[in-house]
Amino acid sequence: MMSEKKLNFLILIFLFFLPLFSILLNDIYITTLFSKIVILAIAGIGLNLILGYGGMVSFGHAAFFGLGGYVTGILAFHFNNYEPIQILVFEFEGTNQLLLIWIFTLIFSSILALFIGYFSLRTSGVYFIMITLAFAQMLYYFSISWPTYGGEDGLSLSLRNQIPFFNTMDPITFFYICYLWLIITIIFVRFILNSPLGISLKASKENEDRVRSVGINPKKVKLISFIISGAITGLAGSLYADLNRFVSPTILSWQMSGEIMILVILGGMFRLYGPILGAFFYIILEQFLGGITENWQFWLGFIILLEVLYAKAGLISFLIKDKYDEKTSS
Amino acid sequence: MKKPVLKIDNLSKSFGAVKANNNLNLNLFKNEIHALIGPNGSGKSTLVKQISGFLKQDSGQIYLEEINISNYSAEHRSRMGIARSFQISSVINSFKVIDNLRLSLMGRDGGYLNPLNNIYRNKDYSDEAFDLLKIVDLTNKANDLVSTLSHGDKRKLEISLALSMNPKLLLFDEPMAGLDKTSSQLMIDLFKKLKVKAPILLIEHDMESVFALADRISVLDYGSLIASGNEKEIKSNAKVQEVYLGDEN
Repeated sequence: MMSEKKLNFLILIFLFFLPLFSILLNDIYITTLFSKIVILAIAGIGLNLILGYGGMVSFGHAAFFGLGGYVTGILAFHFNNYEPIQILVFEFEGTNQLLLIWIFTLIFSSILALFIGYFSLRTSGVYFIMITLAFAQMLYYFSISWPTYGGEDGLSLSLRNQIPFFNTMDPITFFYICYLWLIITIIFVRFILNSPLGISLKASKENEDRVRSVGINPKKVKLISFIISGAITGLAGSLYADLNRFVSPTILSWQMSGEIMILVILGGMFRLYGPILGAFFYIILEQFLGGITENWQFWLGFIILLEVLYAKAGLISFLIKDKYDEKTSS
Repeated sequence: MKKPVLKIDNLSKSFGAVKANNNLNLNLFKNEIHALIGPNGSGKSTLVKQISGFLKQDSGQIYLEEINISNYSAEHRSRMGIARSFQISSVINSFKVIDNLRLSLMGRDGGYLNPLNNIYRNKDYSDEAFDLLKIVDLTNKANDLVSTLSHGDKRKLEISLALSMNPKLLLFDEPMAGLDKTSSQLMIDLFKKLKVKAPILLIEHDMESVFALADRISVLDYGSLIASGNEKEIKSNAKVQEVYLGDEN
């Protein structure tokens, strides 16, 4: 048992030194696995902003994750094949420059989140879950039926996209690029949680009438938070596409939405670092149980069942002194 | 002629066949406490919800300082200075007492969509929050979680939240409900001071408090206004006695 601050610091230090394992074990595959953990943690932090702090149960975050992946894939595809993207009278040759790709990803994910959020936030509860799922499934089926970019087979990238002065093909370099984005995401979301937007979001989750009676429009607060959440998840999707050098409709499917949600719940919904722990244990469980049985999801389900029954605040609640739940989320 | 701070003009609201408010007319002037009394279901809370924008009227108009606010949203009306308390205490239970006030001060000033300023480091808000807590005698509980407060303290917090909005009009829906004698007396003393800042529309069932506070009393029955006047006029009104006061007076 330790203080939350100490645990957060240890998590970051632990992640920073993770690639050492692959050097010691001389197994480069492990670094790719660690990068996946970091990327899913970013997606989880994005979802947690609206799920844990805003009470919005989005079952369609694969839409943003997948869009981020496809933006990355499509821009690189056109650049590598010397086939410009044509939009009306405009032509764009595509790019393999990650800095540019990330900017495009953030813009497109934000626009999609604005669109989905605008309609979804007119509903609440189970209808919100269904409408976000429906939007994601629309994109999923659209990607399957879009042969230009591989349809059901997906789109392969011959090389990872690039950043000047860095060799992104080196797994350890790519891990630290993802790690840097994780740090940026944590700092950004921490800023938000302490900001007027963050406090309004947490209050809107609990009592919309009170929020409205002090002059705050909870719908606007939720929409802006939804956009930020979508943008963060989209960025994670972009990194995921580059990690695998492959993007396919699978990352737009409801299973992907479920995976992100599970790791958030597993780690702890009401803590900023919860999704990092969740992503770590999810991937480790996947690898460990997957090595023992094909039906590893059954055992994952069993673990989640135990957690929901006995530790609603997630795995993080086992490691920190100050027990925490939704009732003390100020 | 004195201009009303709040003017309600032929306001009506129905829920199916039930007329909750029926062509209501009501004024509220500066430095005034106007009490609204009547049996349960007479439409008092419905009226407060319509004035504060939480419920849309079927017909009629609402004016705040001669501005027609009938179609404004609840949050817009709050920022214009209509501050309210709820029939059942409505605060953010998972926040600290002082954070509830930070939230309302931020809402009052706008800028609540800002994702970057650290609200907890805003000294002006902290100072103002403490000043407001001083008015309701809650400074010693500023850092307590609201969920740990007593019912009376939650009521006090609601009053301080209303005051934080720089109110032009205060709507208090049964603020004395569930309070003990001492706390009720504290509220009465507080309201007497507050009416100078902003006029109060008070819904209350505790007639002792109503008569101690109200400059004017209006009586609702089945959504219609059946009487309006000072304490003496209301007490002597036969219809009011019949439908609400009974023979206790």
